Amino acid sequence: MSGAHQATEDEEFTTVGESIERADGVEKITGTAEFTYDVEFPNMLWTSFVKSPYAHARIEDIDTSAAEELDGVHAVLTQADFPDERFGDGLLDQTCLADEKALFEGHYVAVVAAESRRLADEATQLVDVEYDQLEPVVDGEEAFKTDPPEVIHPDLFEYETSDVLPPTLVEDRPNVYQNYTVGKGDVGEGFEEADHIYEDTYRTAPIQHAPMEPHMAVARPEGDGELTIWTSCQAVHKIQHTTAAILNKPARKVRAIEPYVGGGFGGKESPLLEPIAGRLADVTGRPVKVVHSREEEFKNATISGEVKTEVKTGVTDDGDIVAREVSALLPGGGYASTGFMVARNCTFGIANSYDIPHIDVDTYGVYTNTPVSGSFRGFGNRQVLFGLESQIDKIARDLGMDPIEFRKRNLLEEGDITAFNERRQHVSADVCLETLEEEFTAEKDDADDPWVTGVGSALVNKYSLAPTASSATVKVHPDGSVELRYSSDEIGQGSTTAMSQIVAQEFDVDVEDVEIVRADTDVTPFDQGSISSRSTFNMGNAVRMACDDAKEELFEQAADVLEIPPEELETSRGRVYPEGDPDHGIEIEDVFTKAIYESGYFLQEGGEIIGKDTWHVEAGDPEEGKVGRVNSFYSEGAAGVKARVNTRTGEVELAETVGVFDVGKAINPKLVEEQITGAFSMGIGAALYEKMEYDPETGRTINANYSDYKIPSIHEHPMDIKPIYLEESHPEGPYGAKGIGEAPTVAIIPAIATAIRDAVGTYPSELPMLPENVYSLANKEQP
Amino acid sequence: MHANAHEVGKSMAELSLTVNGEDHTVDVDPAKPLADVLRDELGLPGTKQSCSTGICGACTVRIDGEARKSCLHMAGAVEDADIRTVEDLVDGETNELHPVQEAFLEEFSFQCGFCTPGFLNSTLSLLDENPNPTEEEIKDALHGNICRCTGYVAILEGVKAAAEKYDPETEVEAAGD
Repeated sequence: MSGAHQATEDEEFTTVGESIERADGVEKITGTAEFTYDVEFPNMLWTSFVKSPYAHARIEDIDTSAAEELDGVHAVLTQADFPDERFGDGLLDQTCLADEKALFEGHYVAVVAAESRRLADEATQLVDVEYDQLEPVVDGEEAFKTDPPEVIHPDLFEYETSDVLPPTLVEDRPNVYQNYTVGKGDVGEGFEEADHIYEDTYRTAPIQHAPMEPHMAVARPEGDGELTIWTSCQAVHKIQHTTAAILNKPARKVRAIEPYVGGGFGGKESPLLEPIAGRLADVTGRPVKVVHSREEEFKNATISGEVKTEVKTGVTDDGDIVAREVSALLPGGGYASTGFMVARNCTFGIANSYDIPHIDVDTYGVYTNTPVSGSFRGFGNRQVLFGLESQIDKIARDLGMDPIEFRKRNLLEEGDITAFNERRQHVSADVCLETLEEEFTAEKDDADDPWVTGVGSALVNKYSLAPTASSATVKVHPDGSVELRYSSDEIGQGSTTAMSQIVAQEFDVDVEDVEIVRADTDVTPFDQGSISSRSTFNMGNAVRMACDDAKEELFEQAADVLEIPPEELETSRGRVYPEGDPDHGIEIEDVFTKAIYESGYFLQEGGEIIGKDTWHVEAGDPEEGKVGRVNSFYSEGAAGVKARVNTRTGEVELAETVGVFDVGKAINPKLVEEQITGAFSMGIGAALYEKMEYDPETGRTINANYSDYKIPSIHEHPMDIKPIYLEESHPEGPYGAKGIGEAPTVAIIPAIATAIRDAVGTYPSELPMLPENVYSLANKEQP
Repeated sequence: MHANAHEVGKSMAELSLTVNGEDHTVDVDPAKPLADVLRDELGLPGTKQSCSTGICGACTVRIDGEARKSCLHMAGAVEDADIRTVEDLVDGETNELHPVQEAFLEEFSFQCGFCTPGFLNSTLSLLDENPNPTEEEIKDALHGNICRCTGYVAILEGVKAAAEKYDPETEVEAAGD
């Protein structure tokens, strides 16, 4: 079941709010949808990488001569063949290939472009690399020390940083690339006021996005130093802009085109293979395709590193949280990537739900000799809220209170100021929790030995990033169809469908009459990317505003023909007419003039009927003593789980899963439900199955494949999932809508953990909750 | 994920393959995976690969009616087989979607779409054998296909809807012309 909680604006909806079929549907079920995987050109070269067998090693010498001599090999590049400047997502520490050192096992040391993939593979065997092994720093806590075994980036303090939200370094901790703190009150005082103090440590595991289409890029030289790059990414403008910068080209010389993307989940927002493909295309003068194998995807694409969260909470006998101290350590791998931002933004989930007078949050992102950690669905909130919400459940039960009631009692309310100096607005956590209480009525019950059951719940509050911007362009055609040019990445979430619906709604036409031009930086205007659950809210607004602009232009043109002022006109079904009087109108075609030779239509003035606009949110780091905007919006919700646990095997089954999430307005209800279910799925994997395993001595990733890294299949996956969306209209959202892509992934993990606790009596403190771990919890002596 | 415009130092052979009811002759290394041959030599990009090790099922095609992972089958070993890919599903004459495709479309049984051709082939292979499968039988048939986006619930619904729509008997007759 799902349904609207309340009516949104006083609007008449035609297409918005309907579960119309996916706009990309027919292409995707007939095998004709084009992915970067399918982009090929005559004369195209294939590539293969030389990879470091060591997690940390100085590269003494690279001899590429034998590989270069192989017939059919066109280029063998090392970092020396790339411009010197480093790049990054805010901390510029990264190079395309390993520079002086290999920083993790599998790190690219050289790349070969050849006539075939097989030949390129063969040539990599002929590249001779001399390494001087260094001690790999695999453990985040070792890396964090003031005297770590090795300093991973000796030049860290010289690296450039972005002006927008730069990271904070720590002088006496040489591997820390970000330290972020938020707080208010005086926690010492707070803990003195507390009747009970709880201290716990929680750990999540490193996991990989594992999109079905791994990273890939195709670059084609266009002459004069220009490149066209096809990329499987989720932030096409960022990829274009950064790739040009990395290759020392003016941005206009790189055109990035994004076909359909076979999954993103946060893993494809930073440049990786694009500049390598681009440089190879420049050097060889031929189109070049760079693709990741599954193993390379695990090791060289970003992952989500393990996080250790220590949390101390003080409460009164009455059940008021008076103090909370949270410290999180986020081992980040060989480069900071978006990891420095993960360390910052996980604090918002920590400090944005509950009214705690004294709170201190301190997070650290730290280099390790493991795969690079960056953005991943939930962006830090998943990692920290596993522990925080588990502990909330523990405190409530310890005080003899219902965990949902305990949460409701301690919520920040409308207008309250958070620890990061932002005013809580449009709060819906209370409504989400109340609806969960109504809809999730599962109870712990008797199961046949050796099975036991338990129920659990959790609250989530996932921010969406700011500052941020989306732009859109809308063109009205003589036949009354409307073309939308926009750069949201279609990574499967359905933005193409939702945006088509918005255009159809605004022009009152069928979605079939909306033409979509997607993600091509020569044609489609700026967008921040399909990240941070942001597209519906931000791009939805931009599309609506661009439609308004286009209609204004259309009415100007039609006013001359109809001799009626433009502000008195409206459009529907390809016609323009005086408000409320469709019979006295004209076809959109009539504002155009027919050209000779049946060669088309033109406007006598103005060129084209084009509308364009930008939606942006201004925000910044919270300032001491000053209330300001930090994020775009918050995606709030709650999850409830009834779990069955086999006390003899440690197996966990989710008998019932309910999610209640506020989406403001469901542009396409079925797609919203699919986001909830799909995001739950990713959380279930992280909760119960997935973990990248590193050899603690060598730092090698030992399960970089689908056999040893367990992604839930249909057999492991629960089928009793009830996605419920609420429509608490957000005043800034398009028709009141906001995003939903990440929050369910965050919420379900502590809901599962607390359900397991309810079943077996002991709280899981580590992910994933593998059968062996759950077995231990179930068979532990009860204190 | 491999393609070879130019095979170096490998023995080539002339192979006869029957794909989607048409006979093709290709000059390739017989050890080349069928998935690569379909994509590189026969221009059928609907078949995807995601792991190239037979785990994920994105490359699933139907070989003599059975759902098979085309990354694990060497081209030289399927010469006498009836190979069917996702491109075979749409009716060549009427251009109509196959009932299994219609069901996936209506039930929103996919998001990014990269795994979808594999799921469609696994589904069709199941329904041809067992037109009224139980939920457990559906799960068994789809166990070798990974979907990272949907969480499988909508896929299960899609297969159930497909079982309602699809009658293998009439389809076989239609395909027999």
